Amino acid sequence: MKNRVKEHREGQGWSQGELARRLGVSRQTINAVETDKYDPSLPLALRMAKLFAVTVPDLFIDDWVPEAE
Amino acid sequence: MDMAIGDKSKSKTGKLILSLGLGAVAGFFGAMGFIRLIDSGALGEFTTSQEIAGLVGLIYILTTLAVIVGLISPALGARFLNVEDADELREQRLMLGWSAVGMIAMGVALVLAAIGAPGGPIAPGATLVAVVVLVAIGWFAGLRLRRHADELMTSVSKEATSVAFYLTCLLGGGWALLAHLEYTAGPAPLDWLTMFAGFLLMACFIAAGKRGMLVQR
Repeated sequence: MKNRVKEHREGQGWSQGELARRLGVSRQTINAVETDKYDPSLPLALRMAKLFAVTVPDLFIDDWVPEAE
Repeated sequence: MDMAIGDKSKSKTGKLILSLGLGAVAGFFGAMGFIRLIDSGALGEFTTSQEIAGLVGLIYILTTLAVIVGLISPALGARFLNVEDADELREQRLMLGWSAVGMIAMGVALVLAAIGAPGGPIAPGATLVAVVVLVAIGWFAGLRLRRHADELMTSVSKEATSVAFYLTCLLGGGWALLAHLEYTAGPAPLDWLTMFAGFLLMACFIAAGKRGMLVQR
């Protein structure tokens, strides 16, 4: 899933290691999320959104549109 | 900025060459040493199944040794392991440590199983006890590892187990079917152990590759 994690992380001036440390995950997890190779769990996505003071849909872009009734 | 990107790319290429070179040299000398040991007759008569099992076990041991070097000296390990810097190895010390214990237990167990056939230098009873102890150590290491693994590693581990199961069903099952239909000789019991270990290692690379974890950093 496309996301704006890298954009927000760089906006804060944090390295991948710094963000990983703040979230309690490995740098590889941050790298895999930023390169769209891994979709984080809901708790991790919520923690990321909280850390950047945005909402989850602001951070993770979902193109799905519900069918019209 | 272009120069910085160029320098980083050069450094990544250099690291890739160093990693591949070290892996190739260690693998070559490890395999040669093992084959020479077999040829010397010190391990008794060796079948092809035993040779392959021993070599797969050796891959586990050599791969783990590279990780152990990184754990002992993160600065040195960062030069050939796929991490951003030495600090990343320090951050993952516990997870990598338990992973190394599990992998080396699996590798040694497979080598012992290969050597410990009747007529070999190690009695079957002693081999059985040693392999059971090593499997228990591997299982314990796996439990400890789960405490230090984050969600990406847990996800990779689950996917690797699943891929390994399908590989074993497809390739091992296919081989067994062909043997049942008398198109070929069937897999020996040791071949099944080799397949379990070999396909698990292969599946780990597949699952890690899918998450972009094999891309040089």
